[in-house]
This record gives sequence, structure tokens and C-alpha cells, in this order.
Amino acid sequence: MAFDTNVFINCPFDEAYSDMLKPLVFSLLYFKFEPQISTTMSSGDIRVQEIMKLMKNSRFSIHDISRNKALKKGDIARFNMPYEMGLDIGCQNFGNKQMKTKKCLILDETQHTYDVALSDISGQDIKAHGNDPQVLISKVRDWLMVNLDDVLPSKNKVWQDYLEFYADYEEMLTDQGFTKADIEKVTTFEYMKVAKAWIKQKGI
Amino acid sequence: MKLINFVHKKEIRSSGQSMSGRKTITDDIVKKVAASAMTSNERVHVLPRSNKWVVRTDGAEKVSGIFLTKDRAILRAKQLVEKGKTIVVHNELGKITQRIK
Repeated sequence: MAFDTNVFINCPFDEAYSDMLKPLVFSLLYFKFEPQISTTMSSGDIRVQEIMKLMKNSRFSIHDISRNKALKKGDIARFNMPYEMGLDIGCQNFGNKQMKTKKCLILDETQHTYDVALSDISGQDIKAHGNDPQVLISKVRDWLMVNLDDVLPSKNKVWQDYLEFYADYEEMLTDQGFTKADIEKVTTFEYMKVAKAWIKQKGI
Repeated sequence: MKLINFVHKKEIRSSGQSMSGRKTITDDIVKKVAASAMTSNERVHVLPRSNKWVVRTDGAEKVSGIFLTKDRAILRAKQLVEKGKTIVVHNELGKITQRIK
């Protein structure tokens, strides 16, 4: 059933986060999960109702709140990630029987950054990734293993295969006339399609 | 994911370029990247790990060496790489910073 294998991802979809998002999406596909993201919808189509549909259809959710700070003085903090996280936790608490089986992982840059701005989330499953994609994979893998009561491939194995995949991916796209800038502009949906096909072909 | 599929299809034209001029990934490219998973590329990867540099050949279970500096690791990779194959240097994010033929 799709609900059990869907993972809703709540994170920024800007270029700065793509070095984290790419390995995250790859590792979820590697573990045979289906990442659910809203990034490929054009801004006009993004409505909270649609995001809520993705949440309702996902047993697992990953909320990365590491980028909700204002980047420089005078900027306003980004509230979308904490807002969506609140909706998802609400869904888990006030929803039907199936919603109550939802599991949610909250990621931040350091372990206690959230204490200052979002202390109400204490007691949730919160892990720090330190902006390191290998740590991110490791935290997600460990969290899934606890909730699945199953063994998943090691972080090192996933990372090694990710590096091989990325070398193939970039090489092939370059051969097809993509520049570095073109590669950065590939949508997460397209990237996901390629990563999924590569993993399948690899027999993982 | 029906909604995402719909919006995605709407944006892409058959030429492999979206209406905004962005290059898009066609089914043919997906097949080509997938096919490369099965070919023996025999690339040698140089990557950072715990403040050191590791050398590893495609598909190898174990690393071929651990070095204090990137330059040392690249030197080892050059000894290992077969003629015509590539050395791929990654940064800590996994991104490719250098390809050496």
C-alpha cells in the first residue's frame, strides 16, 4: 500500500539545499520508499490543501527546519517549513486511525537550535545533520530502521552508490549537452525519475 | 503523485526543453543514465572522509587507500586508473569538483 512507503519531505527547494536534497531523495528511493514533494508544482498551483494531501498519503514525514532562519539582518525568517511541520503533527494527532500510525522525523542543523525558536517540539524525534549529507543519510536510515524494525543497507554503501550514480548522472547529462547550470535546474521530479531508474537497473 | 505528474507534463515539450527554455530530461536520457548503472565504468573516486581522503574504484567493496591529503589520494588514483578511464574527485557534499582523464 502506497501509504506505508510514502515519505513526505518538507524542506527548502532552493539551490542551496539541493546538495542535501539530492542524496536524501536518492537514499529514500534506495530504501524502496517514495518521496512525496511539492516542489514540481508551479507556484500558482501550490496550495496548502495539496500539500496536506501529500501528508495524508504518507506514513512517514521528514521535516528539515534547518533553513528557517533569516539569512541576513533585515530578512524575514522562513515560516513555511515549521508551518507544514505543525500541520503534519496535527494530522498525526487529530487524524483517523491510519493518521495515528504516521511517523515524523525533524531535522535541524544542530541538536538544540530549535530550543530557542520552537521549544514546543521538544519530545519529538529531532536529529541534527550538521549540513552534512552523509550524516543526513545516516539519521534517516536509523530512524527508518527503528520504525520498520528491519535492517537497511549501511550508510557507507548508500553513499558509495550515490557517488557512482551522481558520476553517471552528470556524465550522461553533460554528453547530452547540459551545462553545470542546466544540471542545477533539473527539477526534483526529473531527478527522482532518473535516480529510480538507475537504482532499478543496478538491481538494488 | 497524480497532481505532480500533470503539472510536470504540462511544462515539458517533446523537444526536451521546457517552455521557459530550461533543459529537461527526456525518457531517452533516463534510459541512458539507467543503462550506465550496468556498464563497468571502472572510474576511480577520490573523496573526503573524516578529515582524510579515500580512494575507491567503482563497485569495489573496500577502499584502495586512505590518505592525509587530496593530492596524495589523486596520486594513488592515477596509479590505479586504467587507460582511458576517469578519476572523479568529489567534495564533502558528494559533488564532483574535478574529472581527470
